[in-house]
Amino acid sequence: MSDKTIKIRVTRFRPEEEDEPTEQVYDVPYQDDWVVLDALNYIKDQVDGTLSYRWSCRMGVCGSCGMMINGDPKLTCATFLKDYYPKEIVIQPLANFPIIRDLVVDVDDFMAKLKAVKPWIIREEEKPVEEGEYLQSPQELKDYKQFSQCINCLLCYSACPVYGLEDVFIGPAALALAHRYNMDSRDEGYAQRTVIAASSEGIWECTFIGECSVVCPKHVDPAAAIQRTKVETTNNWYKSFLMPWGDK
Amino acid sequence: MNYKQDKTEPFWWSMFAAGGMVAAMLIPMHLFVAGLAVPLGLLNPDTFSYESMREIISPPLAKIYFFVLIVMPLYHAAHRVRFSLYELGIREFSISMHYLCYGGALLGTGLAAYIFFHLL
Amino acid sequence: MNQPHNEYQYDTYKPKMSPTWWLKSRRYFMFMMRELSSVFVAGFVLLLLYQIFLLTKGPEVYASFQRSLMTPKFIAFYSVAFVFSVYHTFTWLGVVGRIQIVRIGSYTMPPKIMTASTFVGFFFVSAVIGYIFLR
Repeated sequence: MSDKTIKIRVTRFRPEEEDEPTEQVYDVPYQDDWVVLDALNYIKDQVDGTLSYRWSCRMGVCGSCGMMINGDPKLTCATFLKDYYPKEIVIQPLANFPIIRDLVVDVDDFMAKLKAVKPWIIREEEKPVEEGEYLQSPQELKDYKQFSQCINCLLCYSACPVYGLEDVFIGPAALALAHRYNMDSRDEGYAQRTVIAASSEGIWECTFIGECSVVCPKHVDPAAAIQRTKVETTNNWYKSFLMPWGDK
Repeated sequence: MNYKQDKTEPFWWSMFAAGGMVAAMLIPMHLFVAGLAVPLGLLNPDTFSYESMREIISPPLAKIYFFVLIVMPLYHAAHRVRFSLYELGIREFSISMHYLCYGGALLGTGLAAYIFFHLL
Repeated sequence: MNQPHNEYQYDTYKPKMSPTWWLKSRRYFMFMMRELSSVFVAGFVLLLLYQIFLLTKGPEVYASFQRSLMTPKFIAFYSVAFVFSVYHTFTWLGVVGRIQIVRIGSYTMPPKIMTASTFVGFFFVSAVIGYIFLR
């Protein structure tokens, strides 16, 4: 192991001791195959066991380890130290969320919104098991697959200034997941989801800044999902006047 | 949280989208022709003389074209200004801002209709 | 599983978002410039409307206003407005391909082709306008 080290500046917040967050700097050994999560685990294991943060799979599929790294929302398991070395790395909790402790944020707001958009297949009548599985063509899968890749890491909420300014906004991930189910050929829940998605706290809060799609580690493109929902909702709105006999 | 589908927003968004398309496709060249082509020596100033302009905008189709060219970007700007004021932190008078922005666009529409289809 | 989620009381700290958030990164700033471009476009069309209005006021009034448009002040406005209008066009047409999926039967047009077609449309329309006025 070489003697190279890198400075990690971490936000600390201990609500039982202080009213506002502070910072603490640690010296961490530098290895060019380490990610920021490795550095945090080193701090926790060897230097300061009181540091609190979330992580799980360490491979970019669970969505637990989102944090602000030098001002950008990133997965700590997917961000390499070598892209910052020898400069200092600043780690802060995910922006736009209340901080519970150190780098841990309160995501209850997102959980409520996710549940509100009903991210599951809604059908008027379930097909009985004996009738076999729902069949889908490759094109029908392609219609929604991109939006199903969301790992709920919430980097998009951190990147979204609208969510930062006004947290009634349902937000990119929840709206992208609503779109994912609306686009699923097995689903019949469009009308139910539209009440929530096309509310003034839903798609209409979005001003297509596009940052959500820029930071998404799974290339879901929630911004596109929201704009497509706007187009579809608007088309249906006009259809309801011009062709009132129509369905949906 | 009790969510209700917004039944008026789709209209303003469709005006914003149409205005944005008109502005994107037509405005740059019209702007260039109207303001920069003469100083750059690419255009004879007589093209914008009184007689020439009256001739250009006399056909009904030309009036409709210029009416659309002028009015649609107003709705586009109204929508963007409304949201940008919000994003710049001006939230106290958000309902009034709503009316001011779209009201301005409607006023512009009325003025343009009066000028094109009544005065000219 | 059915316990109220605020069973554990905890204090949280919510940092306030500053109204100058859009100055914090280049991308946020360029977003604001994109929004600002709509104001310059609106300014130009209102100026155009005013010009056309003056056509109803007679040749002298109209001609004197036309002359005033050739002053450095207006040329500066037109130059800035032109840059903003082009920025609007590029940011607007640049995203159309991501939003509008074109499907003819079983063929789905790749978004890049869609975007390229809209730009071709833009240059074609501009050429037509240019031809009408500049020939």
